[in-house]
Amino acid sequence: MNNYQPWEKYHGRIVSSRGGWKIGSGVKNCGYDMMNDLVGKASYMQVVVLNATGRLPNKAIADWIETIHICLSWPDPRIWCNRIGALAGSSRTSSVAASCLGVLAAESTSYGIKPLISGVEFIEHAYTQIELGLSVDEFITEEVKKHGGKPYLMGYARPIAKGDERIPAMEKVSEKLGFTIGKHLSLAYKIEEILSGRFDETMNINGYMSAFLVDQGFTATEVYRTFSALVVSGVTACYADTADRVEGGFAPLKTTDVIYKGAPTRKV
Amino acid sequence: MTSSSSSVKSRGDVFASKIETKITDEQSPQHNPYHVNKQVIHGYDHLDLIDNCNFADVIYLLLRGNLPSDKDSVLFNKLALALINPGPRHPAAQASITAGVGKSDTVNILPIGLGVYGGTFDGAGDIENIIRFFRKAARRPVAEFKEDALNRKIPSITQHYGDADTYANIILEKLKPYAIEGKIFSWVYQLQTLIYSNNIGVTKASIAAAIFADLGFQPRQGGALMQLLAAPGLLAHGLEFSNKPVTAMLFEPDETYHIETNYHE
Repeated sequence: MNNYQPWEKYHGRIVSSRGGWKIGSGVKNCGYDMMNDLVGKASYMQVVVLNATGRLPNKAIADWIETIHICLSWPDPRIWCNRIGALAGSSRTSSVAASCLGVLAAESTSYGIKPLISGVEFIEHAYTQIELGLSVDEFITEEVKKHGGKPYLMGYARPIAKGDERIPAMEKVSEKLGFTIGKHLSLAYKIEEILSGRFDETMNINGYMSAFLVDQGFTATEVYRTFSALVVSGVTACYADTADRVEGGFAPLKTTDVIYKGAPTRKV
Repeated sequence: MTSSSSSVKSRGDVFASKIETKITDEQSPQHNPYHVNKQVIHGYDHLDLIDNCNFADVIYLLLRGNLPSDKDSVLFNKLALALINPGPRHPAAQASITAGVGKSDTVNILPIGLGVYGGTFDGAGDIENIIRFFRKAARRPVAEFKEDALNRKIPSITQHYGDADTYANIILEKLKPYAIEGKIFSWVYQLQTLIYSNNIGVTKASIAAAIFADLGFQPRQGGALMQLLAAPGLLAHGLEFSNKPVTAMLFEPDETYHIETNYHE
């Protein structure tokens, strides 16, 4: 007996629960025949979710997810991931590289994709605490204590600006697609109401989408995987804009634009 | 009409059943074939290299297959130092800084910086093409290429922000004592003396390409190698900002953000 048996069953072979291409007999994906069951029948975003979760969602939830990609991928190069796309265009890298680099940047604890994990975990934790008997007000007090008295609840407040124009836009989409407010989203609104009164802070798009997706049965890991390329389109837009201008032309810096605060000049 | 491509058949290509490499030989202990108890790099015991070589020499070994001569070792190390820090204003460093201050996962900072450094503007993106050009051109007298250089028909011979690249010229002079015996560096240096007074000249990519070629690196190795040598500076600037608040980086106010309106007109 050895200690490497778990790896032996994969040695020299590929094991996939998702599917694959068998030459001559087609492409399978989670039990679906890609060319006959999915192509022309399912939307692209339905297949994105299928690939990320192993489940084919209904068209409405896929449309909702597609729409929120629009909300989170806009062409402003001041947003960090987009700035990298703009710098890449200015440096004459390829569009593919630029888009991927922007996506890599959005794996951030401050914005983008990673906070979605915390967002889902936060609203699930909040729901559990309220179920156990804590009032929403008491729950907020506990959470604020964790952050040194500041209202930094995951899914609430936002860098740069207060308020979030994307939430009312998505509320309209949710209504149009026939979604009702589930128990997690309902709690998210209650938290917002109290947080707004006590700290003048509101829900952000992370809070809204996390609560909505938990109500739709998504886990934190599934949300993270589904939205892996969430920001890509805005990055590509910023790349395309600067790639078509003079090289090095995005936010060029003069030496006087950088202040040196290091050690004084010295010899090796 | 329908395409006849509906019938899909394997072409029967024969793929390798095992990968082959000239670089690394690994041997396993008896108890676990996934473990290594000895690694050999191009014939040298890895542990021997740890004891007796510097970092840049083993990079050279990995890519060239042999340890550099003393002279080549000095030259390669000097070039590595010349390229080590593109500076905080370089777009690639700006990308690293943006990733750092944006709290991107720190393991993503270097790929982001290097990705942007893979562009052709003051980066490594055109090195393969430059090496190929220099290797061929250096067989002929440099004077034959003066006109083409002045007309920007030679890859990497250009201007930087509207003038001949000042710091590239300084680096060229600095590396001259170490590199001038190389056929291609010598050719590039002579070209610079013919054109620099016309406000056009070499870039850092030209210098890297010339020395890579003289050291025997293949054109396809050049771009990635230049990225590797610039990595420390790009990484340092990104990491410097990874502990700073997001406000430590530029976020141009709306007043300085001009949205052009010529779309859809």
